[in-house]
Amino acid sequence: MNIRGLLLLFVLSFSLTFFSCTDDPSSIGLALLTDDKVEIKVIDSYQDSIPQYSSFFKSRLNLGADESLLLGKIRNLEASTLIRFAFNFGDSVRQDLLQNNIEVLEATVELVRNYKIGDDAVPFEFSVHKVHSDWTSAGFDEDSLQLLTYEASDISQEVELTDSLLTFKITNELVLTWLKAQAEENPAANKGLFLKPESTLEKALGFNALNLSLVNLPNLTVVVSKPGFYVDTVKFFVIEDISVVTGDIPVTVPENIVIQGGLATHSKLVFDLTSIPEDAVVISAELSLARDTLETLTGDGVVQRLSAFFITDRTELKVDERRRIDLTLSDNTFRANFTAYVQEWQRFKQNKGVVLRVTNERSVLDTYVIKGSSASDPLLRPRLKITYSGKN
Amino acid sequence: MRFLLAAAVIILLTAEISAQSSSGYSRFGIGDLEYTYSARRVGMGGLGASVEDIDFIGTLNPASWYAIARTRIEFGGSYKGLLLSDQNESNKYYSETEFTGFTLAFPVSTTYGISLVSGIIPYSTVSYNAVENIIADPQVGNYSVDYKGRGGLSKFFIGTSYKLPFNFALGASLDYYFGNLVYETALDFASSAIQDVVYQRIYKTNGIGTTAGIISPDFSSILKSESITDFKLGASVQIFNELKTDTLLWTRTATLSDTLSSGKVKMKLPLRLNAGLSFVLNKDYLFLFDYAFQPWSKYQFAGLQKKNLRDASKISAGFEYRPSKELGATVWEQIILRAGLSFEQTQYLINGEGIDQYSVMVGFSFPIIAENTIDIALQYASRGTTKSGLIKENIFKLSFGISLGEIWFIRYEK
Repeated sequence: MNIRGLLLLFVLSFSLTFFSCTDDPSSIGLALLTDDKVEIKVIDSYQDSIPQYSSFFKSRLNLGADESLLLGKIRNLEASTLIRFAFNFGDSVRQDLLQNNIEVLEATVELVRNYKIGDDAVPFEFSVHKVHSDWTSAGFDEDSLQLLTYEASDISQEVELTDSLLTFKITNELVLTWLKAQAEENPAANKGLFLKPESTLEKALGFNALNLSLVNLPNLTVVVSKPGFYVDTVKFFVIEDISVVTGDIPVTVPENIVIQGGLATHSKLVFDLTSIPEDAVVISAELSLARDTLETLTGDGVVQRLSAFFITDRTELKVDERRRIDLTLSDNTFRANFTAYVQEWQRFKQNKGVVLRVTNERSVLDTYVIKGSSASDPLLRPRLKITYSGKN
Repeated sequence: MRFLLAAAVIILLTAEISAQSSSGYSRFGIGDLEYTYSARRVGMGGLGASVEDIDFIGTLNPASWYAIARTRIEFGGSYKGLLLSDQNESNKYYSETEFTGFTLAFPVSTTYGISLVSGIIPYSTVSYNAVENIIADPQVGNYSVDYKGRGGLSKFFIGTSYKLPFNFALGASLDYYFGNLVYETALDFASSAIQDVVYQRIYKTNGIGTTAGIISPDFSSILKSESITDFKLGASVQIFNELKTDTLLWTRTATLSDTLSSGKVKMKLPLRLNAGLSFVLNKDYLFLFDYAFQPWSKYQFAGLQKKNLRDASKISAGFEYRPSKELGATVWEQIILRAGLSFEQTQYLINGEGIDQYSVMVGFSFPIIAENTIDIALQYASRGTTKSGLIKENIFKLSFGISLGEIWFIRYEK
């Protein structure tokens, strides 16, 4: 091969590569490309005819992993709490407990507040009871609560409530019983405490529960004494806790739907999207929900947010728990980008609607009342605005 | 060995350096038709149905292979620049560089003119890119629409030639057409609340066809002129079976990727006729005149004819100066020079306006060693008009290639 020839070709090719300037694409030729045009259209449930349906229903929460403990009564809801503490101590203390050489001088339960709903001026009244029956947080529900047995007398004393803490003392005898049971390697005798709101209360609080980060855990501070030897203060932490919310489904006017934490009350919302062409591609969808300010009641300390879950089974109202779109509040309206859901409804004919929940429904007793699909004012109904593109 | 070296060099240099040119006309039918991939033919008008070369693999007429005397391999590439204007904008320049094809020929019997030839060459090209900027759309605000077309049909062929009595030459090839035609529309929205969306319409086509050709014996004796030799007539025809085409309309957004429609249809390409005559004047000067015709008005896709296509034809005239071989000639004295011009009534009929193309070409072959050349051709063409919302294209095309020949399969006596 002639090296000069190859070199010539090499130089030529690379010259073309590096010196072939090209302008940015321009509008020249657009008139020829009509077959490639894409139309953009908007369909808005305010203006266009998109049938919609909404309702609300009481749902059953799977309790046991909550990061909050609720206690109180507000509207239709009553929240009570169960707590059990773990007792760990050294072998010498254990021997002293077995030989009845230990006295409990004081026992104080401390709960860290994280939520409040209801009037500040209302005194927070509740009672604390020694539990007799076995319980476990896993699978505990309303029915379990009915079966729970506990001592009728209130064992709490010196209740103190600040902006950040709830503390109360419990009887020294009870705590000594728990300590001895642990020393005798019979921890099952420790069935914990049941915290129950007073029946006339119109207020509820939330407290930090057992959590993986082990921060601000419920604790029991015990002052113990071995007469003639020492007086010591020991802090024991929660090992198991749960709160259960009971109540009837809330009542509202027919045009509203309710979404409530704690109980929980969920709403279902379905839009009929059959008016969107089959080959359309949804590129934007926004859901707006108008909040009824008079009926809505929310607490302090949490972000007001709803979550929409994709319904996978309309009959049993099953949702895909992994797919969640949060609706944020502004100007008294909850809004969310619903594009992903609407795309799936429209493209794959999977339109079974969404279930609306309070985002942190296990930790709050908030009640959101939303204007439903039958609201007398069409402008207040759930609004779905869809932008879609269509190819010729 | 040098075949492999050359192949590697050419492919490395050209395969990855494509860009997008921007001929909106290629949106119609199967795109711009490629009459030839080689710099040699481009340099002399683009056709050459009656020309046979002993040192070149023509692709227009299989009968021309009968003259091939050595095993040959040839590669081609091109740089294409487009200077575009329409009624609104002017002088936008776009370019692309690409590997265009290669051919391989094995002479089996020079006595009977039998050669076995194969190759992959382009048949059509789709290449366009245009952007539309929409300002303050009442529904979605600002956004841009990017239209892109790319792809085309290629032809793999394998064929042979045969020299008949009275020096008629016949040739035929079995052609396999394949390729993707991709038309893309991408919408890019300024608002983050609206998902960008891409539509892609893809036609994946394949099917077979046949090319057959004939070249006459030398009729120069009829002219009774001593200065004219090799007066030949040639013709070829390309026939296509219906090409199977898988169609797909596909879309993609940030959260969705879906097929909107798909199907299988037939693409019916019209046959192409090529005819030409050529003669050599004073031993060194080859003149050729050609005509090609393809009734694109009969093109069908999914059983439907296209209103934007009409019958295409091309008339070309070419000239080649090939200095006689003389012992002791320098490299520069062996350079082959070419020139040509053509008029092409393209298949495009847009908005009632037929799109025509006028071209002039020049070229040369630079000898490496005997019958091994580097071929270069430069073409300027003018196509279209700015009337009726159309595009005026000034086309600058630099074609380059390498043509290598060796004697293979020769048994030397000890």
